[in-house]
Amino acid sequence: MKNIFHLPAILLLLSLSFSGCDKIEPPFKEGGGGQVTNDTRKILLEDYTGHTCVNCPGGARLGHELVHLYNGQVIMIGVHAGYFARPKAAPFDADYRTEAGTAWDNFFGISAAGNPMGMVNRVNNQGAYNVTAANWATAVGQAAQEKAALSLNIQTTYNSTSRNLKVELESKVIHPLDNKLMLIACIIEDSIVSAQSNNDPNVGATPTIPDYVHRHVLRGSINSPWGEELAAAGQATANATFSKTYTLDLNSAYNDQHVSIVAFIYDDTSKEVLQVEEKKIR
Amino acid sequence: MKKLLFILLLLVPMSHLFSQESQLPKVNIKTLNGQSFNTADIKNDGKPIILSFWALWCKPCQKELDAFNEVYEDWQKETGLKVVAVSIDDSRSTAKVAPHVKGKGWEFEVLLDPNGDFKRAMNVNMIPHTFLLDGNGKIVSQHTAYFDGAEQELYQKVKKLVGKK
Amino acid sequence: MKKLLFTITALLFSMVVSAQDIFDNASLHGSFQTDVQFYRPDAAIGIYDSTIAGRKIGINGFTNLTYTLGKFKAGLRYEALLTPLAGFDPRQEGNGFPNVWVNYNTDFIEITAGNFYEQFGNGLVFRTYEEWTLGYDNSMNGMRVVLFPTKGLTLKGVYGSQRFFWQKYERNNRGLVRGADAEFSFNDAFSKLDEAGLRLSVGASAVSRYQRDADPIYKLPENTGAFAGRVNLGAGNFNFMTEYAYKINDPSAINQFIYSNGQALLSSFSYSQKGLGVMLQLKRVDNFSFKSDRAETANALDINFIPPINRMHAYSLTAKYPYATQPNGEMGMQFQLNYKIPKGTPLGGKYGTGISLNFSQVNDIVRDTLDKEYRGTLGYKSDFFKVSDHIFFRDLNVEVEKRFNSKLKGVIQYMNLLYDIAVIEGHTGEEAVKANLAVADFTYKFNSRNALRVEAQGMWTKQDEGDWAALMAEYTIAPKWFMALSDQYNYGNPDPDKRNHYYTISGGYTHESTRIALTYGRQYEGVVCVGGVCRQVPASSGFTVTISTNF
Repeated sequence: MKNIFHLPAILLLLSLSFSGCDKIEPPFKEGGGGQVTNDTRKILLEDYTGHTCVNCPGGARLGHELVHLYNGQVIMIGVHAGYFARPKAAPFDADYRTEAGTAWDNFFGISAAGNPMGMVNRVNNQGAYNVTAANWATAVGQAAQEKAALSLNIQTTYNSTSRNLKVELESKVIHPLDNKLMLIACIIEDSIVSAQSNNDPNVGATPTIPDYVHRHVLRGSINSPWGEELAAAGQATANATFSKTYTLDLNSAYNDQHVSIVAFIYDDTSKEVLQVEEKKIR
Repeated sequence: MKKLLFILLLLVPMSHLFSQESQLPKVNIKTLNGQSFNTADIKNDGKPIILSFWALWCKPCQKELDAFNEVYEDWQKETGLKVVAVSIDDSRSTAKVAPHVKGKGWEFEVLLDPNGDFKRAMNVNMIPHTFLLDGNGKIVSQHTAYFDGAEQELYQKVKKLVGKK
Repeated sequence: MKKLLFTITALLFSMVVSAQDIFDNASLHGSFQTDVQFYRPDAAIGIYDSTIAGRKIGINGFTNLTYTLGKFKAGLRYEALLTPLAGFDPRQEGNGFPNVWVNYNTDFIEITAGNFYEQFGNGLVFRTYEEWTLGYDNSMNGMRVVLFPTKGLTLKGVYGSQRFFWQKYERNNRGLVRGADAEFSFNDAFSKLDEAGLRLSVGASAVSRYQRDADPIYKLPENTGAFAGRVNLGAGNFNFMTEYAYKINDPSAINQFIYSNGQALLSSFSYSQKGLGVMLQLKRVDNFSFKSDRAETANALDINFIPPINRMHAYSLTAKYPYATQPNGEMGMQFQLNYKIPKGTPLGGKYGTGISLNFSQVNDIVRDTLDKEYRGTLGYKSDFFKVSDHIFFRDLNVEVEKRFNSKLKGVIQYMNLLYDIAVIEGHTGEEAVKANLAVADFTYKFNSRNALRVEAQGMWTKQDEGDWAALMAEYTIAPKWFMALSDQYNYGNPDPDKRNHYYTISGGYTHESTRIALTYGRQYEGVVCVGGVCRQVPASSGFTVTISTNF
């Protein structure tokens, strides 16, 4: 009588052991993204980073892998904010922090959860916006399946002598939206070379990469950290168009060969990014 | 005959008031040797029990148990009380508890609660946390934190319990 | 008529008393604790108004309640971390009931529904627990069934999702965990073993995690399994315990998405007799991080627990460089000796002298990398018995404890430490810390109620922040009052501007199980870059109030 329980117990453990795991055979990597058209919903991947953060080059590398995989559907920006972006003794005396980056970092609670940390289209998961680097691929994969509700076009006119830049943004509504829409236009400078702390020998020298290439660095927002109203609530009806124009003189410290404008439209209530676009000025 | 029935009827509910069943929560933990032990079996033949939660890394707990150990023989002779010390050290220290307890020459019973199940059931948050139980396993008093000399006041309470009986 | 009335009265009386008796078996117990911290700017240790950023007060608080009615128990915990204290993960900010449960317990079966904590064996494949001082809580939210079918046999089954701060489980936002464990105690089943002075118990566990693969880059296994077997054998004063665990491919953020299997082994031998205790512990860990979410890197969502096998330190300076288990691979050992020199002997003195010796060392495992690409490959091969030359951690402790007379007793400790700060705290490029430490902790009793404890510590090292000295004086009036003054002084910091005093003044009142304590002073900062993420634990300065009680 006692022994009848031994058999089911063993069977239970055995059955769990056979059904409880999947063994994957190589190759371990798989496919990629699709084609990009005018109606594609592009994805904003924000990488909150800092030059004294040893884990950040590894995170940045993951982000670039995704940009490459998705053939232009993913637009990545590097936001230097928080404790690890503070300037320190040389060679870490550069300061890539911005008013906009710090404001977003504080509001969305990104660096407070550690660096590297990011957001994908600023999607809110039960109050948490931050996505760890290892989850960017999954989050981007999910976002890639969404349809675009509006299109966004950027035209730039740049005079390299006077450094005068004119940015014209136009957006057309595909599916109507009820909430108020905001537009932020940012200046991004690519390929800035300066020191970066690192602990991944596959990425570069440890503990410091003296000539690290910082990609897509956020230099600031043209129209304030939280942007400008693009459409009031209820205004975004089907086929409606909205446009904004900005003119400014580009900061002399930026290398205009590497500067681009990244603009994105977001829902003011949920903060979710609905469409993003990027355009090099030269 | 009927009178007898009435008396019996009245006596039945009264018997519950004299129950010897322990009032401690029933949790499965381990003895110092790693054998299973149910906390319902913490008994002392109707005599008081001091139940103390401790850990290897808790210095005040060590001091309190050292203080109990120094006077344990005398206390036992006078009141018959029993000290049960429950270690909440987790699996990083489980193997070290027995050598530590024996190496220090502690005479009382030590139990192991590596996942804190008994500690949670007794609502213990900070250690040392010591309970005084009467002969029926009911909690008479409890205190948290240990300061040198506090064991004397605890012993006064034990004597009162025994004196009452 | 009278007889009928009498009968009815007697019946009603017995019924009422019996009904009350059911509720006599009912009880409500609980505990409450709250910590409030007031932060102020302190330029000397780098805290400015901008660092505080408006968050001037941090409050952590929780209440536990348990209602017991016969074989049923129900309980809940209410938590409010608004805003969490400095040093706690900011994602813990919130309020609500993170822990609610119902439990039914008999001699044959025990069922828990709701949030529960459980450990299989040593926790190598499954352990859910909470440690509120660290802000750690990975409770399972699901069901737990424990069966005691025959004497000596315990069967456990669990399933559910784990707690992740305040985020409720939603489809695919993290993995699901199921597990089963069986333990057989030969001593409970066969009484002959007790008579022979032998103890034997064996156990086996199987745990599996399901998490959907939505990753466009890697082909990830959706079901990941881990298994463990354990033996606990004792004879007289000897004891031997061993547990071996194996995990099938689990590419995750912690192991950089490699597809190799993982192993872990924990063994210990000990001998204890009155006055002498000896223990030796061995550990091997190879790719054994196991989380509910393969992308998580913070100290959360761990399904298992790999115990660090080095001594836990009780003094502020000796605990400054604590070892943290490296789940990707380590080989560790620990040796401990406890001896009490008997009283009455020349060395032992009137009361006896306690001596404790502890040595532990952890090295890396030897890896033969298979593919330079590493991520998304089988990673590496590692010989089970080889130990790398790279030492992560080593410490040697010698402690002597003596009571001099009825008023004075003390402890003296010497510690030698080697701490690879680059690996353990992620401070890449920094030299490993080699330090010598000494502690003297003496208590003098003025009379039966008043005592003074003085603690002096020193740390001498050429690395990291240099030398430290600490002094503490605590005056207690048993059983209710305590007052303490302490200071940690970083006098040897290579940067003269950082040679700060971290002082605290504290005092408190304890009445039975209610405690109120006030502390004023400075708390130290830290930078930790582990698990693929860098976090800063800010320094803090100001007042702290702690209130706790039990009922």
